[in-house]
Amino acid sequence: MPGMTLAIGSSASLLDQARAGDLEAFEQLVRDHERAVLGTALRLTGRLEDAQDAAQEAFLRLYRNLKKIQSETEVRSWLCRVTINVCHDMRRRKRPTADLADYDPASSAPDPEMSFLDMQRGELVAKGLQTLPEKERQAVVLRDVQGLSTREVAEILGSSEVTVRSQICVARMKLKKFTDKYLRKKS
Amino acid sequence: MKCSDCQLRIASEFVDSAVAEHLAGCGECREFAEEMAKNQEALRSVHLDPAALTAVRARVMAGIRPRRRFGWVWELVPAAVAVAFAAVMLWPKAPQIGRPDPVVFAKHVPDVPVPAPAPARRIEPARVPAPRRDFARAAHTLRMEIETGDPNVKIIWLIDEKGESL
Repeated sequence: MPGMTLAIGSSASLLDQARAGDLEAFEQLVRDHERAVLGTALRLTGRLEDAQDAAQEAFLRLYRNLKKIQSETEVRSWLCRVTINVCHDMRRRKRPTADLADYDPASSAPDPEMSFLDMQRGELVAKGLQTLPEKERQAVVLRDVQGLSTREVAEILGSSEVTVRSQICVARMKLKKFTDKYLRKKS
Repeated sequence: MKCSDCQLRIASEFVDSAVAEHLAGCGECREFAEEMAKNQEALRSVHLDPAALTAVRARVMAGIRPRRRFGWVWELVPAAVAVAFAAVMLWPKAPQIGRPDPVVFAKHVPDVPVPAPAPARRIEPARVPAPRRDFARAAHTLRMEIETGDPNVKIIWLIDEKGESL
């Protein structure tokens, strides 16, 4: 699954230059990975402001740890891991949001702004992601948003491939159930 | 194959010939597979405003640039401190205006007699014992006390009859 590809290009030399203190090279490194990092953070946090904060923190940590990173491939997985951790910390600090799994459109007051019936599938999937347990959300985001392989996801999350495969499967089934719940009511 | 098994395999991306065969004859599972694919496509298509990306990049670079711009200053701080310390220690002390110099005077200790002037006749070297730098000869030493501006600091200078410091 191609997923969201990362521009690798000449980042190997960019990494060397950035390590040598070249800020222009580091900025280019940020450009290469910003879409993937911000997209992942947005899917994990569900809010653009939080995602921007998380992405900023991830890149600042990257800058502070440039000398520890050996290759461009490592930059990618390193950023994934840090983004996951930052978003996890962010969610832990914040008050838990309303559990959308318990939300029933039929029983709620008709609020056109809040109604899921008018949501596009993308927004619905994004909302559904927030109802998943954290590990399942992380696994399915890395697999379906970042397009990483199951093995890569397992390495980043520190789990076994079997566990990750199971988490991804369950997460997809739950998301399907979540979208069906509202899209069928719409139809 | 049951529909539940087929759907589980689709969600697990474990699509083999058995799944394909089931899909060919099952409309419900085909719809499931299509919906699953749409959801995955929706997940992938994260719409990000370019301004949001630019804002993140600007914040990151703003957080880095000040540190880098003045980083060399911080690297020089230890050397600068060492140079300043050495300069203070080695700088020649100029007399301070308005503050009197330390009072320096010599006084004879009462019990220490002033050495008698050397006799006119020459003393044979063999009869003169080798000078011993010990305080047993204190009776023939000159004791000078030099007081400084600090009442707790006093310099004591002991000189023997030959004018050598003990």
